Amino acid sequence: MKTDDKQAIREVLASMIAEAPPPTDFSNLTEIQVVHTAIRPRRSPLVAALAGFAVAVAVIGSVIAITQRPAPVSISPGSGADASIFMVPGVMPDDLELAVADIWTDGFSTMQSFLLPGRTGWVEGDRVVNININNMVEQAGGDVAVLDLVTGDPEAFFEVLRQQTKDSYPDSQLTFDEITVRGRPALLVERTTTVDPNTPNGPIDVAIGVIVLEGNGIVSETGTHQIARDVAIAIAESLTPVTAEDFEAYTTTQP
Amino acid sequence: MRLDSPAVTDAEIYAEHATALVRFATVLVGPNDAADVVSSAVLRVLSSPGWTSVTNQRSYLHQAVANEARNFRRGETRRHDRETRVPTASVSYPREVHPEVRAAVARLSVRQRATVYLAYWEDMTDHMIADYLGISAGSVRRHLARARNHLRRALNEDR
Repeated sequence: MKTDDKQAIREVLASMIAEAPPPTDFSNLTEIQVVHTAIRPRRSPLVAALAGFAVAVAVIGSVIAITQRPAPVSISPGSGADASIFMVPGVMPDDLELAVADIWTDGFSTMQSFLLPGRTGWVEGDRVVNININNMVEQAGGDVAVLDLVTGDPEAFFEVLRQQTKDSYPDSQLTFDEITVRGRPALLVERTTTVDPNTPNGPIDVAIGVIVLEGNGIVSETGTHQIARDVAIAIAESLTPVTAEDFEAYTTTQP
Repeated sequence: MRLDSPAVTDAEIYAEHATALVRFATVLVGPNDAADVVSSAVLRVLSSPGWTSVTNQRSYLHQAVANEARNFRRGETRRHDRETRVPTASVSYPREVHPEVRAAVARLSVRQRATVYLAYWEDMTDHMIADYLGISAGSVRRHLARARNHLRRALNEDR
């Protein structure tokens, strides 16, 4: 990169940094730690891990053509035993393209976002498919109770999810359906929320999240924005395990 | 070093790195959410059992902020807040400074932005960034290459 270009990037970074807010005053850090530690036992590791889960937003009634896409990478034969954080969809609305695919720094999660070309997915009204796959057990530090919950007690796991979603969205209308995806227990969460009427898709948002217990402590979440319920389910149904190397290649071939 | 200097408190460590962490977070998630991301990351780190054995706190805290930024970005809980702030956030950076490049930086993924920040602001090498963020040097090179491709287009438009 040319010197002028480097300088331009530095100037942009400087302009961004100039907007940095002052750091939070943690002069009472010891007290904060005490409080934080005190409340920690009440919050199970699983709930903590679930806190990062996204439940996506969709608009009711959007009709989207589904195409059976050729798999973007070579697909390994999949079964419950192959549950992995490395899974990719074989079905996707044909106007969405892969914008981000990544392995999280902790190594226990992957994420993929499919967006309309040129969109960020951050703006209300954007059509988005997010696929987050977590190794919940690893994230929770191998906690046996979590392992039992994730692998042996779907109903209890889904109850945690239901409660966490209710806590997170007290003002939303929520419906929960226990369904089966690829023969595995899954929870479908639908969330209806009144939003700014000036958004491109009107005053109502509907969130669809399909959370699947994939086995071996792996939980996949297909979260969609402005995607019909049957399409969201079809995408979750199409998730197929791939090798870590193939997923890595997938991330390198994204636009 | 924490193990060598047990008298250094967490509050002192935080005070030493807070400004740098907030700057880093500002590049990753914008000024509106930077302090929140740093606070969450710091509290998470300090409550971690492994924190007492960390020897490079600066690197560890930056990793935590990068992870928190990525979690933050995918977290739906705050999505509405972010969305309602988008019109404000989009003009909160001074637009007169290479607006095309600024927009291109804003479009980078969190990890790409983190590597760009560390490479161009902190002048770190690929290996230093890899150590800093806990990822491979190959991943750093890949993220930087992608980021540069995006930025190069913007730089050309900027001229």
